[in-house]
Amino acid sequence: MKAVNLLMIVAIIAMTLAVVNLIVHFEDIKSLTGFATDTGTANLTIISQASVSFITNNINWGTGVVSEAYAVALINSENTVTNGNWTQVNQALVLQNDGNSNVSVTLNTSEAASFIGGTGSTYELKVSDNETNSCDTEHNKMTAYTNTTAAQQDACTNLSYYDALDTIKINVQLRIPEDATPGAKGAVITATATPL
Amino acid sequence: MEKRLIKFIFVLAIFIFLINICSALRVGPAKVEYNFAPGFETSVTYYVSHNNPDTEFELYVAGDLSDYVKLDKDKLVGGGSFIAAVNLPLFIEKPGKHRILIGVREKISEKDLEVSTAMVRTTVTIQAVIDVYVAYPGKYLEISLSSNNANVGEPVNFELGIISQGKEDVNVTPQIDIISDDKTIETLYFMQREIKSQEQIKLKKSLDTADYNPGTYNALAIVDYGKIAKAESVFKIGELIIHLVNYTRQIIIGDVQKLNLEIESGWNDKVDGVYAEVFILNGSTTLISFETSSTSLEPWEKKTIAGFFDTSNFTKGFYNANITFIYYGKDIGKSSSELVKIEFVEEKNNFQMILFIAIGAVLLLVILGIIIKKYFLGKRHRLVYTKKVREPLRGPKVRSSGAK
Repeated sequence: MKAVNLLMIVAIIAMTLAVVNLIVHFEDIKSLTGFATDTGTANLTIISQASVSFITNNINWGTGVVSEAYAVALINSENTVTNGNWTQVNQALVLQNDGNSNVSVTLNTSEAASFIGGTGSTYELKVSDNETNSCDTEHNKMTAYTNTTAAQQDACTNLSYYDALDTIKINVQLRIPEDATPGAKGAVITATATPL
Repeated sequence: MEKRLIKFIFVLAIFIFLINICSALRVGPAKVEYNFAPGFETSVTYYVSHNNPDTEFELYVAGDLSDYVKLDKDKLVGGGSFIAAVNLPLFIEKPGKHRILIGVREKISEKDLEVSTAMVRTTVTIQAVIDVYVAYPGKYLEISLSSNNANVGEPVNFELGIISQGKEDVNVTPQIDIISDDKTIETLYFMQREIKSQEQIKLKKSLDTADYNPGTYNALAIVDYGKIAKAESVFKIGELIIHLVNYTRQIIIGDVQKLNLEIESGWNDKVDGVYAEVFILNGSTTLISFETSSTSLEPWEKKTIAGFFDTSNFTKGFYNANITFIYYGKDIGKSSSELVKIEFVEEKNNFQMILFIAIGAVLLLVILGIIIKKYFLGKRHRLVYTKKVREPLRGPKVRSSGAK
């Protein structure tokens, strides 16, 4: 009985902290304005907001080497590791439009030579729906794995803010040659969202 | 009861904390629009929010007319606001839309960059937009047309957007042609109206589809202002029906096999409880019947359903299959049937295949052997024989035994 009471107290403290945390973050919503005229009417203005976030924001294949008998290893975020012993990863980056404006999305990252190095390395990105038709074939500019160029590249030219189709997947594929310099290799992918 | 309550509170607390884990960069207003006037000045206050109070953001201006915009800050930490002061020149030569980008770029902290780890990380950048419209000389209109899909008897609503981007006002009588099979079958007319320079309007019109057949139609908006502006939109008129798009055309005889049916909804609403009854016939006799799995279809959606059946009593050949789809839309039940042909084939016997390959290989080796023996070895034998014949015969040695 005493243990249950103690547990109840801890639970209430946790709940209180969580609710306070929630209130602090609701303060960030400043999109409601209004005024009243002499005749008692009120107008409501909702400011358009552009907002995107990476729901899944990193991919980590861990440590590995190109297998001895092979010149190149291939790894991607769709559960493929060929000719190497890195950890298989079956999770793409997921980008969400959580504003109230449709946006065009471009991706910018480093080239293969500066990310991986070696002879014949490649660093490619592919965009696909995370929800049905979130980026249809008319607007998806990376339907197949596309080499990165260190410049902004069109990814999805119309990502909706409607809940049912506001997320896209970005998969990453790397070709790692045996002469790539050993060491931890990191890259940063920047998604740029511009309202339509 | 108390324990359950405690568990619930913990789960709820954890859930509320988890809301923070996914952090988003938010910038508003996302888009503002102005019509150009010589020396136009304005300022726009932008609000930036982010969950992480330590995240640093770079602020920048890019795009057309960026030289005429100044920001009162070049960075923010954790969020906040900044002002973009716009001071346009007296004259802009190029007419049309000029887009200014106000960028907020998330920076990865130096601390995080120091961590040497093999991973792909992400950042986001938001580019809010300021569009400045410079009027074209004379009259110039840009138009857009949107429509919705509907079912037979339901209205199709059109929205025609008109932007007058010329310096002169225009008088127009817009119309929308409804086109099917390259023929105009109906025209919707709007009232004549004046559109002032740099004015934007949206006009609405509905199409009664009671007398329309299901299918895909084109809508072409035409606005004549001295020049012709056109815009197109495609819309579908649906009916409660399921179409068979594709199916398994060849089945291997032996045990239980699968029949796939790819189906497509021809309706503009959700269709529930879609499944098929399949009757495979031999002449007029039903050899076997079975039902497929059931599914629902969103408007115009394609999906595959499957059924399984025992093929052990079949012999190879072509059989008719009567496929009846049963489905429900808005509580109305319907069915539709199609007759298709399915080929039943015998399973390729692996042992037979290997035997044929082995026999073939042996035959090939025998033939090769014969050729080698006849051509190559036979030649060598003739050479050796010839060589032996040409050598002088050596007779036995004769010794003299005579006296002196």
